[in-house]
Amino acid sequence: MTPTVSLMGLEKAYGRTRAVAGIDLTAEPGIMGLLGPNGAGKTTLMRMLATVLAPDAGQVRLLGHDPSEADGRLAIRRRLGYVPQEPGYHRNFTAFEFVDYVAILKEMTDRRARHDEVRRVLELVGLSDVSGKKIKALSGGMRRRVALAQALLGSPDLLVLDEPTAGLDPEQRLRFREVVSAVATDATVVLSTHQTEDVSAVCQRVVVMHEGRIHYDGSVRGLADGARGRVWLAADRHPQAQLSWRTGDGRHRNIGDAPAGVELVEPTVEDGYLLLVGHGAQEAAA
Amino acid sequence: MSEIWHAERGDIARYAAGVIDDTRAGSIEAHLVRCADCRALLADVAGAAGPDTGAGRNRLDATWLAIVDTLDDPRPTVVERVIRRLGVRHDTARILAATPSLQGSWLLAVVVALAFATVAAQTGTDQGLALFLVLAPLIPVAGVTAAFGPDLDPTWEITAAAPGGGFHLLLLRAAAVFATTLAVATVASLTLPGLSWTAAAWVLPALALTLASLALSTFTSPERAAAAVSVAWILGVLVSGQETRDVLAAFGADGQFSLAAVALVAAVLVARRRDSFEIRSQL
Repeated sequence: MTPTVSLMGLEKAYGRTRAVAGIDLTAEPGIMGLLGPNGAGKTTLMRMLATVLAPDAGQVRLLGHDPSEADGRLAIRRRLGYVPQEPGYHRNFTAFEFVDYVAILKEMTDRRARHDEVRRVLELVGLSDVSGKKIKALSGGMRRRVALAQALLGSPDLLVLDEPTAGLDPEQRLRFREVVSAVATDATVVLSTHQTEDVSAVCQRVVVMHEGRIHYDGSVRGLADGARGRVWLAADRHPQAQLSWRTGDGRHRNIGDAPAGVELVEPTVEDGYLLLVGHGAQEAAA
Repeated sequence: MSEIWHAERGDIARYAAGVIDDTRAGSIEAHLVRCADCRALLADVAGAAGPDTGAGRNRLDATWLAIVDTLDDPRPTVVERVIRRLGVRHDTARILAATPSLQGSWLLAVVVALAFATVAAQTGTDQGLALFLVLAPLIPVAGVTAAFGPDLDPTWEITAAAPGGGFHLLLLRAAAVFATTLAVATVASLTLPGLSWTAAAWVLPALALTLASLALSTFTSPERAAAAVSVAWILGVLVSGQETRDVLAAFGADGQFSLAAVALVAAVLVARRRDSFEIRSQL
């Protein structure tokens, strides 16, 4: 089976900064989480997956097409849903009007059928009750859901979601997970996030990016296992710890090369991630 | 007030089947709202035709959906209504009406800028006229620049990833903005004193500069391209004025011919480099 996403030797630089420094990646239906600190190159990669940014070098094939060719690009965009990191809105539009506007751009020309589809996706993200409200009157979390709703139009085969859970409260986040996991039975979802909880909750696979490169590509459990035997609790920050923070119960969670005799604990996905990307992730999370 | 009549079973059946004329259907609907007995009869008739596939249910569902759809249908803005009046399809009109440089505030700015230039031209001097002729072509340049691009269209990234958001949309928006500003500037130029050929001498520059700006924006950001073209245009007019001691020299036959050549080359470049509007090399 042809993978939905196939990247080979992908590179992208902004001036002297290599945002994406040689990435090989394939993805098939299911949810792939993309974790990484700020500046890791995630958004640059997501924009290339969304066909809005051209790579400097390397090959991109999405849904079997090449986005550098006009016909291929059009074929991809007809089966693509995209939530950018900072989705803009026409603030005077209502939620319904905005999603309807994007539906027109997605070539849904039959007015009645388009409106049915707009209602469907607004219902999916739980915004039916406020569909007539202007976007400028909606909360940040609701706007995020409007962005997700437009991406779901037409049940796309490839969903590129760049930090879609930023600004969502816990209940909204649960709803998001429910929607995305339902969609991913047929579609390929690439989910970029800072939230290791999102990855643990819904992703079958996780890719960790740091400084433009892939540092881990595998199962969520595997990422956590990378920290096995290297996470321990102690009264204080241990000098041997690579990373350490005070937890709610007053003890320190230390990550690094554990000395003998310490109280090792079960590692989490976050531990594995922090161990991989070190201080960059800790600063981003701060 | 209680109803003193009831709908005929036959009429209810025809209503449920959707084979009754609109006037009678309206009358029955008005009655059904107030009469529980006839609603029960309708349910009975519709039920007899099949619980979910019956004609009555279909009709009720269709009526309800039509109401919901009418309520949901976005109310067109003034701009959208004007565009629709010109015979443009409703979906195209909606996309065009969302163009940043077709909003009321933008159009007001265009009118104010042209009003100032027109007032300057009323002095009857060549300098006043030159100010109008220099400014008028720059207005569509600014408008077309504001019609697309990452920094000025808030929905740019979502639009760019949609199948209908590519070069075709750019051309549509550019044409709409160009035509709008052209119309406003034409009205302004008709008020110039001593109407002559010079009143139209800005039209070709407007086309050439707009196309040049679009062509240049395939190499850099639309804002930088517009700024570069505007500065080059103003400098060009000033230099040719200095050399010939005629402030209107750039608008003469030679100038117009050169601008026609610029327009042609720029149009070819835009067509050849159309991909760079659809997939940016820098963001």
